Amino acid sequence: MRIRRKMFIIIGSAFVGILLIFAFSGILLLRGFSSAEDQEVRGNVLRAAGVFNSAVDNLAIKIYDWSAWDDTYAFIADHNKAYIASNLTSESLQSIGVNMMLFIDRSGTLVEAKNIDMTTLADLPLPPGLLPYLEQGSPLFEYTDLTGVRKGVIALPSGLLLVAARPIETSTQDGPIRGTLIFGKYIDQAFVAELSRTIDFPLTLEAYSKAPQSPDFMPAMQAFATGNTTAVVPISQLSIAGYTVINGVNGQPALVLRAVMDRHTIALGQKTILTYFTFILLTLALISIGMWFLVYKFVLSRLTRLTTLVATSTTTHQQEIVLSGHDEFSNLAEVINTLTTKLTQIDIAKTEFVSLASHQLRTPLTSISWYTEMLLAGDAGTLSPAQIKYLKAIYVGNRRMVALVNALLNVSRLELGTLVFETRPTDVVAIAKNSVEEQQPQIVAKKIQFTAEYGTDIPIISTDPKLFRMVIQNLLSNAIKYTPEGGTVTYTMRLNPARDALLISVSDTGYGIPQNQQDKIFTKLFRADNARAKEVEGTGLGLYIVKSIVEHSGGKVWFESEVGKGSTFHASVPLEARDTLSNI
Amino acid sequence: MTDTPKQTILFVEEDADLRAALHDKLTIKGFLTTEARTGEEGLRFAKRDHPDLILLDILMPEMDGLAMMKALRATDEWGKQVPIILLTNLSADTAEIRDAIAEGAPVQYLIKSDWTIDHVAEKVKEALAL
Repeated sequence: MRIRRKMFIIIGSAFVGILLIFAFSGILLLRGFSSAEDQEVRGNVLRAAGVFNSAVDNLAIKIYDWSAWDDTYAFIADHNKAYIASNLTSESLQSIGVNMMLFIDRSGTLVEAKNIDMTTLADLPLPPGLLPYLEQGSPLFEYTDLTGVRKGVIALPSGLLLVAARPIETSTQDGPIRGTLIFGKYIDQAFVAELSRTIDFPLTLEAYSKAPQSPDFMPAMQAFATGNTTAVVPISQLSIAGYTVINGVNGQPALVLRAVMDRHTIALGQKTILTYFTFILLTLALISIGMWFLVYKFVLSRLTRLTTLVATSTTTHQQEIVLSGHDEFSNLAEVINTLTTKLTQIDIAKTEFVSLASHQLRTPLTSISWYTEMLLAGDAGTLSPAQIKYLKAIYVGNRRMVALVNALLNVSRLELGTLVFETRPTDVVAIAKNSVEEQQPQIVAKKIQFTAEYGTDIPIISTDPKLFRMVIQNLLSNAIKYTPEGGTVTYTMRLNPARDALLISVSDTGYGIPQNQQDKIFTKLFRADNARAKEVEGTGLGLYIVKSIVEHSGGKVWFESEVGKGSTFHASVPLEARDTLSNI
Repeated sequence: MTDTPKQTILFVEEDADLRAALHDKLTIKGFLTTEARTGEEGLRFAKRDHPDLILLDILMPEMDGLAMMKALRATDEWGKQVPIILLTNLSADTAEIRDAIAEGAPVQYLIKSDWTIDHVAEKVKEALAL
């Protein structure tokens, strides 16, 4: 994997990991805020319930003036009309904020009842559903002493009613109880509005029911069903509702109080977390970008630059690479330079050694060669056929050795740069024809069908005749060597369509070069496996020399080959030699 | 063989075996030969005998072939024009050899291992015919 990619993954993972940790802590924090909000809402709704209860208490205080009053004490016994006329007027009920007054004697008989509309002051009939609360056994009568007061809420089909009940007694609070006085106050919009104003957030009240009329109360009912007496239900991002149950006079749940509040706690929490998160995100992004930038500038781009320099110096054979700056990479560049210099020195020493050794080899080879020739020429007397045969074998073996030494010398000279490229006007067609002539003995011996085609418009060109001959000789001898008996070899030489380069092609129907070895065929001392297997003599230097010479003169060499079908080698040489006289 | 007096070839060659081979072959081909082992000896014999042609190796002790050729060309009129064949196993790679060839005419350059001894004899004949 590339460093660029690794860095991306590492920085990205760290980024995501840290982000996840902070996201987790953010959720915990938000839960804390949520819990605080819950506490706050429950507190508020209980406070609202307290305010509601104080309204009930208020009613209980008002009833005290009336129940422990000698006039009422007398009225419940004698039912005098004067009491009714002077006290039970709509205006007097309105002035103390009571809708209903009920006078019940000890026998449970409803002696007098007044029920008014607070706005119009008109008398109203008693609301349906109230009577059961006025009969014997009603919780309203369950007081045990003279000061006992019963108060609470009664849910009627028409609405909710606040009630307070007290025993009727004398002003001095003694004497036998003569009956019960009941005050009632409807829980209407005005009452709720007053309540809301007192606690400073909107309240709604609804009779307790498993199927409440308003859908707003539905979620709370589910919470109450599990035994809770308060419930908190978020409405939206901005508001939240708190609920609490208020029991009626009978001790059963009678109404549900609902208070709606702004969610400033949670809003504050969210805002805090968001700010915190944005800050962390920006910090992380800055750190990531910073790290990436540092790695890119000081490592990756330097490394890429160094790689490019080394690659360029490799292809152009330029010795020194220069990487500006003073860091580990410029140190590495210097080490590479030292290494390159050392390798070059070793390479030159090796080539010089080959060159020297080859020169030293030539003298004893000449000795063997000349004496064998002289023996074969009969200079030392007549030889037997067997002696001639053996001497010829020595002679041929020796010529092969000479050829190998010469090839090695050429290679070392190509590499040392001492092979002189001496261009002069050259009749390349004549050289080609002469080279073909030299190969004639092998062509005849192997019964090869040889054809040669020469373009009629090939001019005298400026090149080194010795090296040009070496190219043609190598290509021809390869084609003939690697073609089995009876095969076909074709030599063509012509100008390219633009008439600025000489094209040479040598085709054979030989063994061909295996696909997997085609990229190595121009490599020094390389020989294809199938060529070795056929025991064809070769140095593995011919094509390397051809390529070196042709490329030096600004041309190129290429080939097509298929195993079992043959090969075609092409060389393209520009007519204007690139160098007139220079070293390779 | 013709009736004309035999031509003399001086060969300057360090290797004894090659000297012997050249002696035998050139004698068979009808030449008289003089041999020298070093450039210094070759120069001395050349001045003394005025051979018709000199076969000259390059790598030799004391005085090498190129130095001997230069000295010979500088002696007298005969020394300037006597044909020389540089017969060596050294490739003509260096500027020193190329300059020597350019300045030392009439001179030819043969790589020993690339030529048969018969070819060498042919080259000698060709050079003398010119």
